[in-house]
Formats: sequence, C-alpha cells, structure tokens
Amino acid sequence: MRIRVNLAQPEKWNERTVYLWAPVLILAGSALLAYLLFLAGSQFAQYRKVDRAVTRYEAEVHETQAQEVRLTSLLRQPETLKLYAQINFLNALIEQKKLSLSGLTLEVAKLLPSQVRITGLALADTTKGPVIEISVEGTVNQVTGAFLNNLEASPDFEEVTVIDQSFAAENQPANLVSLTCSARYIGKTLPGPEAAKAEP
Amino acid sequence: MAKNGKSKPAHSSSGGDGGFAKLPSAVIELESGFVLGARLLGAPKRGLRRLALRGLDAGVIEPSPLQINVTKPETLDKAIRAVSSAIGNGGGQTALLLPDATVRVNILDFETLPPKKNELESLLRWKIKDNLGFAAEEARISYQETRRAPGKIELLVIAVKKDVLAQYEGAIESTRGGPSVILPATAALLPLLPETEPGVQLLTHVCSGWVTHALVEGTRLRSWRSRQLGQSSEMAEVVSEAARAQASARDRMGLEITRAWLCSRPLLGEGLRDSLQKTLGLAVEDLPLDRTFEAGLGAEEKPLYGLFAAPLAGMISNLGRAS
Repeated sequence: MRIRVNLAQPEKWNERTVYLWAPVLILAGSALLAYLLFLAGSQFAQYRKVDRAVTRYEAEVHETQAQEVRLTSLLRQPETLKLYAQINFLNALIEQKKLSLSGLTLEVAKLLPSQVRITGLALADTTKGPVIEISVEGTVNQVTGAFLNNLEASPDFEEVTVIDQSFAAENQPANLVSLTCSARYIGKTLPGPEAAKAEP
Repeated sequence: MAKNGKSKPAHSSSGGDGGFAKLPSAVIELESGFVLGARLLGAPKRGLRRLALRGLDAGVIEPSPLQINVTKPETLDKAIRAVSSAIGNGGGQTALLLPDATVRVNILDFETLPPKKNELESLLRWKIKDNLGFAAEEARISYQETRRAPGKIELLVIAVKKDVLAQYEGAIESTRGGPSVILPATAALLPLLPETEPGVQLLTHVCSGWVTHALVEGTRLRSWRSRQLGQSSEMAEVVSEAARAQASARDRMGLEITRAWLCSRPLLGEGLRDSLQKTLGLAVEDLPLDRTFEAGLGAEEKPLYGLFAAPLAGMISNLGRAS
C-alpha cells in the first residue's frame, strides 16, 4: 500500500533554498547597509559642516547687529551729534573754499558793469588765501566808480588794492581807462556751525 | 482509487499540501524504547548507508496523543546526538518516524468532496473531532484518498496534536533541522505489504510496549488499532489484540483475513509468532524486507536492519511505488 500522507509541514521553495540565497542576500544587504551608513555619515558630516558655518554666520550677523546697535546708540549721543555738526560745517567750509579760475571769472563777471571788460585775470595762492589780480578796461566812471565799488562791496572779496591805473592812449577814446587791482577772495558768506547741526 | 481500481494521488495534505516525492537523506525514528537513525543512499540508489540505534530508558518518551510525550528532553537529545553522530550529519532533509500512539488514524467515507482544499480540511476536522480527544483546531492533519467509486470516496486521515508533534520536531531540529517527512512508524510499514494480495492482510506491529494492528485490503487501509501493552504479559496482550482485530474485521466489516504479517521491534519472543498463528489460524510471516537495501551497511549495522529497520525499508519501498 502506497503512503502519501505526511504530517510534516512541507517547506516552500524559498525555505528549502534559504541556505543558498540567504548568504548572498545577507552580503548584499550588509553592503547596502554599509553604503547607506557611509552615505548617511558623509551627509551628516556635511550637514554638521554647513550647520557650523550657518551657526558661525549667524553669530557674526548677531555680532554685527549688536555692533550696529551699539554704534547707532553711540552716534545718537550728544557729543557725536555735535561732532557731526562740526564736520558738516567744516565740509561746507571746505566746499566753499574750493576755488577754480572759471568759477572766479564768473564771480568777477557778476561785478562788472556793462561797459567794462576784463583784460586780465590772475590767481595767486598766498598764506592768507587766494588773491586775484584783475585787469579791466572801461570808461572812467564805470571802472573807478561802479566796478571798484562793486568789488569792495562784494562779500566774496576783501582787501581791494589798486595796483595800476592808466588812461587811454592817443588813438583811443579820451575817457577810456585801464585799471589793475588785487583782491583777496574769501568766498561766499559761509553758514555758521549752528546751521550744519541739522544734517547728521 | 481511480475507476480502474488503481489508487491515484488525489487529496493529500498536512495542514496544506502533503506527501513526499523524494526520500530524505536521513531518517530518525523516536520510540519510547529506542532512537533509530539511518542515513540513506542518495538517488538514484535506494538503500541504507549508515544505521545506528540507541536504547532509551523507560520514561524518557511516554507516547500519548494528548499529553507531553518527551518527559526527559536532555536524555532524548543526548541519544539523538549520539545517533546523528553515528550516521553522520551530512545535511539534507530528514524524515521523522513517530510512535503510533501519538497519532489518531481515521478512515472516512464521503459521497463527494468539497472542491476547495481549505473547505475539505474544515470538513475533515469536523468529521474527526469526536475521535481526537482534543480540539480539532489543535490538530495537524494529513490525508490521502484510498478509494474512489461513483458516490463513494474513502479518505485515510491521520491527525496529531500540534504541541505533541512540536516536541518531536523540536527534539531533532537541534541536530538535523526540521523534518521533511513525518509518519507514524506503522504507516511506514504499510508499503511493505504486497498490493497484489487479493485478500485482507493483517499487520501486527509491536514496538516499545505498544501494538498496532493495521488491516489492509489491496490498497485500502480498512482498520487501525493501537494499544499500549501491559508490563507483565505483553505477548498475551498482543495475541489477544490480534484476535480482537480479526473478530472486528469479520464481524463489523465482513472481512476475512487471508494473510498475517508480524513486525516486532525488538523481537518480543520466539513464542509470539506461534501464538499468533495459533490464534489467527493463519501463517504469520515476517515483513518482506528488501535485502538490497542493507548492502551499503557495515557488518555491525546489518543485524540492526532485520531487527529494527523495517519502517525504513517501507519508506524506501514507498518511494519505489511512487516512482
């Protein structure tokens, strides 16, 4: 009599061959695990590096912000504001003290009456400041009257000195006169230090 | 059984798909009196290569279908390791032969069978539940079709309590891995009975204080009786039990036994055969063991083959039938 009963739990194909494929699977799994661990480790190291850099930059930003606050508060102190006003005043002074020949020509041209023309203009720098030497030609009244009056009255010039005066030659009209004078250029009327306080 | 009267591999299950198509490389038989181990020749050869036996003291294994069987696991483990060492632990699959007392054997008739396997198993569990003595859900079952005729299907169903079986499986797993074939010892003897015998055959299997009687008609198992023998008069009880089996066959099934076989491990006594013959009124023969199976054994192992290895020879013969 043939027997086909069997009380054993039959193993499935994968259970029977587990000894063949399991080592391969374990090796592959271990390799994959090692690779993933390596990957995770390097990622973590990179993350730490970036994190440290970010932390460092954040600290720097905080430091800078603190410095800004500190400096801002410093700048708002009365002494600093006073210094600002003085700086502005000096800057304005320096600006006004800048002198160019073309600018000077314009300044002088404003003082000229209509019938007077400039025949020479020279600029010399002295210890007291720039001194100009102006030669003009015109009628007697306009030159000696209007021009010299204008020059002396101008707030930009002082110490007006007539250096030379000559009357017309024989072939020229009788009332034509040439005048050479010097004056120290002091620039426009400067704003006082109080006016500069509003600008810090 | 097919329509032409020959058996066919129909339903077979052990909690799923059972049966065995090829022999394992080793067999371990655990009985209350001994542990028998054998290493089998690899295919295509058929036979034994190594055979080893270790005796067990009383009480190490107490076969029962319901309760704890292995009462001294350390002693049993030691014996199994000794046997395994003797036959060589060459890997491969292992078969496990159990004491007959651990299993419940049922022969069930059906008109039709459910087409689905799980439905069939549920039906089988329901049919055998009264015979088990424990909850049907706790049983691992295996079955095979032994007869098929129009409107009549006969199944042989073997059941074992899972935790009882787990003890035996656990006992050999430590040394040889999980078994691929598990059978009660007497079931392994059945392939030795000639299928061409026209009458009814009675197999008396005496082993380690238990006797099992199997009644076989052609390719059908008709009856299975297993009983523990008393300490004092074992031989008389075997004879008495054989007489009961014969009377039961005659009275309940109308079968007349025409041939009787005896397998006693170890041999109970010279007088047993004579007593059986006298009681049954038949010549009682030794099971026909194929002597070619022992060709690979050493000189000291060959005596064990005739005395103890009949179930192993039956398993090898069973595969021959399958092929």
